[in-house]
Amino acid sequence: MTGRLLLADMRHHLETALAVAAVVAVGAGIAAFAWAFGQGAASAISLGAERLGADIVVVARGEGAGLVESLVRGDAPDGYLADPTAEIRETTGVTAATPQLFLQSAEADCCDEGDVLIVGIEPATDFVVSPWVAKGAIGPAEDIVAGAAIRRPIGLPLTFLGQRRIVVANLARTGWGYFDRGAFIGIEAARSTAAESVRRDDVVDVAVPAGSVSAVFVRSEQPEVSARALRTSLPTADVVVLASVGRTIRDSAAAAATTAWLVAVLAGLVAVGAIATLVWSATRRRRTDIALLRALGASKVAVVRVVVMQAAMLGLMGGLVGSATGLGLATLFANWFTYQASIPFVAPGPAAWLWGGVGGAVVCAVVSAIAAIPPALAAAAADPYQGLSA
Amino acid sequence: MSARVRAAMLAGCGALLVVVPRWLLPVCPAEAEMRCAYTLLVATIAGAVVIIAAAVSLASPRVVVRWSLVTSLAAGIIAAVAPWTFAPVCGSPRMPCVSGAAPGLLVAGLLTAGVAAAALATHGRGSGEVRT
Repeated sequence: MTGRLLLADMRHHLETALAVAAVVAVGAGIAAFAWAFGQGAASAISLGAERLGADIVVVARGEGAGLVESLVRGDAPDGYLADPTAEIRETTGVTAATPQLFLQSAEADCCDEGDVLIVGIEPATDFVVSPWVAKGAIGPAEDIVAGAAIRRPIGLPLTFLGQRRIVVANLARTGWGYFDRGAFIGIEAARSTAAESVRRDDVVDVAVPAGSVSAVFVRSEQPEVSARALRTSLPTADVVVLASVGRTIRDSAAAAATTAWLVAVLAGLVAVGAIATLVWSATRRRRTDIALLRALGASKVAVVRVVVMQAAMLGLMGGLVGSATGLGLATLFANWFTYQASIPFVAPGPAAWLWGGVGGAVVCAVVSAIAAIPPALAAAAADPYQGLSA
Repeated sequence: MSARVRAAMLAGCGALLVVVPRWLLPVCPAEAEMRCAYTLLVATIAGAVVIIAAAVSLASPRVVVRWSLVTSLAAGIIAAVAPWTFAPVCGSPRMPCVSGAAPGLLVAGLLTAGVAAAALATHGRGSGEVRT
């Protein structure tokens, strides 16, 4: 009964109702976006660190400075170095080392499947991709493990640099371009692909010096000690300790999330003020109705309940719309975070949509109800006689 | 919603359609001659149409106002769907037109359509406009 009356009242004062719902929706949208960004970046960073599984990466001189950003965006470092894997394995603290060869496929005239990062891995020693696919998936030279952004199902062919290969496994989305845009093949197949591209006239030349690699991923029990030793023994290479660089990315993502949360809190405070003002003005406009209610015997509590319930209903509706919009925006711009802002990011999944949407709407309903209490108390305390004679 | 407020909001949305794919979340560089250049063209035309329609909506005949709002609604929807349909952006998620301009245009286009739809819904409600 009360609900029907409230809905009828909202229909009669549509503009006020829409204004309250819109204010709540904006606040909820900003908060949901900030929450989704923080969650998505944090989970992508930890997922990427887990998937990479390396403590140290050795790359050609000059490639180390932007290595992690390159891994996030899925760009291929241009430099190659003579394969130092055997020497690295002898270094103090090193427990495993695996070489990789990166090839950037042609982007074509604009945009076909060409723009992928081809990664040659050594199946026997690999600990970056192999643990996440079926045992022995990377075998014959025609086989390929495709990242999530390539969107080529298992069993279908994928052609790059003039070479046709069959997809044998798909990797789950990680929010890292290195994995999502990556097309992983055996390192010898990658070398032959590069050599073939130089021989053929119809594809872009990808010249790779014989016996060279792009990077060596290293596991170490003492990363800092191993890195110091490697810097001495490999003067022509850059040695990057992933933990320290990963911390930088984590810090920048955390700073961005904190800023977003501050904006969300600010928007929330503005929304609370705006809701209180709008409800106050609405009760002022309806003081005759409220006075009539009181004169007919309605208690002060009943008046407060009606006003607060109406604000809560509008908060719930605005919260649902705002939360869905914020989560939708985070989903829409997932690729922008990864490829343009160099922040690993995974779009919110169904659970995040459920919890973010429902949780956001409930929080908005509660906040709106609380914001409506002071004007509701003022309206209930007004003298019915004065209200009716106004 | 008063006529001036409505026109200002629509003009702002039209400006957004022009600004988003050109400066805020730009498409690929023009010198690369990529197909997202056509997306930019469509968005610019749609934005210009909305700005002109916003100016026209200041006119008093009700039928003119209504048609200018309908035009803005259509232009907003066209700009929103263009990157995924008849004026597609490039193919790789790494490209700025795919990761930034396309979702940006979707948001700006839907915002424009939403504002135009709201203006249409409230058009003539006690605003004192002259009916023809």
